[in-house]
Amino acid sequence: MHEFGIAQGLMDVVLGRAREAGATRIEQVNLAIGVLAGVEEEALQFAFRALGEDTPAAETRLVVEKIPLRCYCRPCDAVFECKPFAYRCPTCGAASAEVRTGKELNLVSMEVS
Amino acid sequence: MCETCGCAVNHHPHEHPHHGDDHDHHHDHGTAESAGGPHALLAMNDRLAAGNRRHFREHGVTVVNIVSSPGSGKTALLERTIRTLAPELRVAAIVGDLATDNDAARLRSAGAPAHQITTGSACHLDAHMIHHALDDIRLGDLDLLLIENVGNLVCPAAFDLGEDLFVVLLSTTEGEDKPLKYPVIFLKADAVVLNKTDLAAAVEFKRDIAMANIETAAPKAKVFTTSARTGDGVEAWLDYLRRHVKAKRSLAG
Repeated sequence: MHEFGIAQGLMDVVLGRAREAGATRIEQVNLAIGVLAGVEEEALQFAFRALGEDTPAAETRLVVEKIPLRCYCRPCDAVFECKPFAYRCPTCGAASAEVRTGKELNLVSMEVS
Repeated sequence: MCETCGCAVNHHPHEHPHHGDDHDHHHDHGTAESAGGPHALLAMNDRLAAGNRRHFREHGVTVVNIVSSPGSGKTALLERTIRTLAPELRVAAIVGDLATDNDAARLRSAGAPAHQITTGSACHLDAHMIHHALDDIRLGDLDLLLIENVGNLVCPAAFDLGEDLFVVLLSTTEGEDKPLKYPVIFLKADAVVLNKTDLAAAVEFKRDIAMANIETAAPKAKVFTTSARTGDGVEAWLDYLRRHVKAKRSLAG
């Protein structure tokens, strides 16, 4: 549901940047989205397409890099990747909620022409 | 004009660039270049949340963001919380719903000033809405601000409001596996309140399974089991709030 609002925020940023760069067309937008960001890629893609109609973003490729969830284990002083959604260190079995990656919701870069 | 967020107070027509006439479809391929660096998509919300958090800290106010699915008993728990705490602490509430101010009216009857945010169609509260609700709330006169979020276990996880404590409430009638179905919001929880224990027997609620699931999905959370209706178990929850209020007050000096 809230993907639409997030897509609108993204659209405002990329259209603004395209305008500043004097570009007529946004070729590609690269995002990094963590598995904990609470954003469904499909819903975001749909909203971005809908909002981009008749703008320089009409034919933009929205490329999403999924960032896995990684937590920090204090006893082992190590970062481990969590299987969604078990937060136990595979080495010592301790539960951890110290999230190191997986909450990202970032525009990484974009290409215009 | 609001100086923090730059919007017209209580009215925020966001500027959406319009394109059309000046946009020609003559494309020149093969000359793509990069435009601008990395940008956090929730930067606006996070900036406003940081502003809210700073205000709360300056006034030593403890702020609790309470989320659950619709009908889990958020308002009932807050009514009881306010009834017990209002004589000893200065409490106020902000309530989010798509429509009606029924919940704010209930919390006012319980004894606290309550500000209703009706979101229209938005499925969550965001830092911007809280920022404007604060126009109505005198933080200097408060110890504890309770924010009842829109009933939804998905979207509120993404929007920091500036709170100290993020509390997820679930009820026995919703089934034992709720924490596993909504892992994103449960992982964020500082506390989990398992409510409607008075109905547990009627729905054959399996407490051990639910507790194991909460521990799996919310490893850092304090867990409380309550019946907001009978008051059973509520005292431990209230003590938890009292401790946080005291700690934050002492930080504020």
